[in-house]
Amino acid sequence: MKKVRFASTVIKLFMKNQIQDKTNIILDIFNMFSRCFIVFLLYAYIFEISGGMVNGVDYKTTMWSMFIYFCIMILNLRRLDRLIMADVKSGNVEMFMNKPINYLKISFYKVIGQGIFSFIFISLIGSILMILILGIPNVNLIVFTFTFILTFIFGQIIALFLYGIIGIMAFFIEDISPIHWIVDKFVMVLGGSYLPISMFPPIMKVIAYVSPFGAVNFATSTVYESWNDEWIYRVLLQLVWIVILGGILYILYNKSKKKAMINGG
Amino acid sequence: MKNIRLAILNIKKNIKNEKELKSSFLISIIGMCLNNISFLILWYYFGKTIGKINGWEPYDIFGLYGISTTSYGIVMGFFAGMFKIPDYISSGNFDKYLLTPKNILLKVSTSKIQVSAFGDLIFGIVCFIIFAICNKLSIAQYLISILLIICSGIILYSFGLVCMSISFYLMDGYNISNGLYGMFIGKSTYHGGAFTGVLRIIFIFVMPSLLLGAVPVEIVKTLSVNSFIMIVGLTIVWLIVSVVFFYKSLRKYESNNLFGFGG
Repeated sequence: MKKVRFASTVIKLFMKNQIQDKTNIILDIFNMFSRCFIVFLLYAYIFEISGGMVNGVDYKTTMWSMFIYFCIMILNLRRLDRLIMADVKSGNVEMFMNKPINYLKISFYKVIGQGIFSFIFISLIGSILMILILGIPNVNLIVFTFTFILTFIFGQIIALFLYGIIGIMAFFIEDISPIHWIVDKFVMVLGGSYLPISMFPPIMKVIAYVSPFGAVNFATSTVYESWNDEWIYRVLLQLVWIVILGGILYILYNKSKKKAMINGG
Repeated sequence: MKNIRLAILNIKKNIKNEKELKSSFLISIIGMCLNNISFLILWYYFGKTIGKINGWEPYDIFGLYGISTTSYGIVMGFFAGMFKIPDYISSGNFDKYLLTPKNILLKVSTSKIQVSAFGDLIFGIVCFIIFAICNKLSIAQYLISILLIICSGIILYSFGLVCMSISFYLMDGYNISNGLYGMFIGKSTYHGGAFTGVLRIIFIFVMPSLLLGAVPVEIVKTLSVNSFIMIVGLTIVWLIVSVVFFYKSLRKYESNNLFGFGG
């Protein structure tokens, strides 16, 4: 109970901090709107010339899938590694490591707190607009709601572990930015950012299915028809990745503690 | 002339500094090349699945990335200091650029380099070569391409300067400046066939993202004289507007008395 209260306090703290800076929220809204607008127009044209269906999927389903991806982007958990690297470079990390708190957990709560308000606000407004413009996605609502929440939460845990591992690598290498770029782009491409999953070539579909990079954004697949048959496997895959990445992060974190140099002062 | 010599010296010094961390230097360059490949794969498969869109063939995406990342690599590789203006303002570090009898803009611009941008530069050149081979470009098209890369670089620099100069008017302008610039640069990597009608006008004349890659690719392919004149004209306009706006905005700068040397 204490742990939950501590987590919610840290998240709230950073959330309030973020709300104070309204420019961030305005920029997020504008970014989301412009991204969606361009992509939606592009695909409207593509579906029109393709006779309304591409690879057996219609425009509405594709747009809902991409909308979910853009919403997840707003949460922006991928800034976690940069945050850890900044702490390692500035030496702030030793301050946290000397306290009876887990530095990694604090960092997790911090990034969640920084992105959660924009995420909830924009997702809600965006969903209403999507329903008004395109209509409700053609899904079994009970399965969709349940599995969406599940895959979304599991996906974000994987994202935290994945970017946490990259962040912790800052203890061992000078600059983690190149690793961040590569992993980030894998997550972006395999998540169905600008090219919807339904349009992936077969090899990319397989990679998106079995890799942790694709598992981060399984929530974007919840609107597809095939989801009803495969959601159990997907959720299980996410659990497997949580265990594997969690284990790697745990080991690396313990090793990094030995690497941290306390300079004092 | 003296200012240009100083700028070259600044760039050389920055490159030497960065090369001291050899592994980081190389990893940054290779990492950026790999990072860019992901975008290329994404849009290439997009083109392959859909086919021709608004006159854009799948291979044209190589031209888009060839021109836009080459110009990005040149600007960010040698003039990355300009993108640090919001940081310099908020930290008070801008004082040291004002206190020297040299061209302020040139000195600030060459105060930093971005190593990863050399990865963009290499990637851009490779992409352009692929585009040139696929489209069997003539000598005239090669020459126009070089001119368009220069124009694209100047527009990138100019719009970036306008975005960064906004920081002079705000308490903590970092987010707005970088958010606006991010929006501008982000749209330049989208498939050129995505922009039609009003959207195309907005992203050519208001936020010139399409001038970084999409419009130049169309000019190279069609050899349209009108479009070429338009892009050269817009380049000159953006350059003048950005420099004037920078110096006008500079008057808003208030020193916070941070004591420091160098730069």
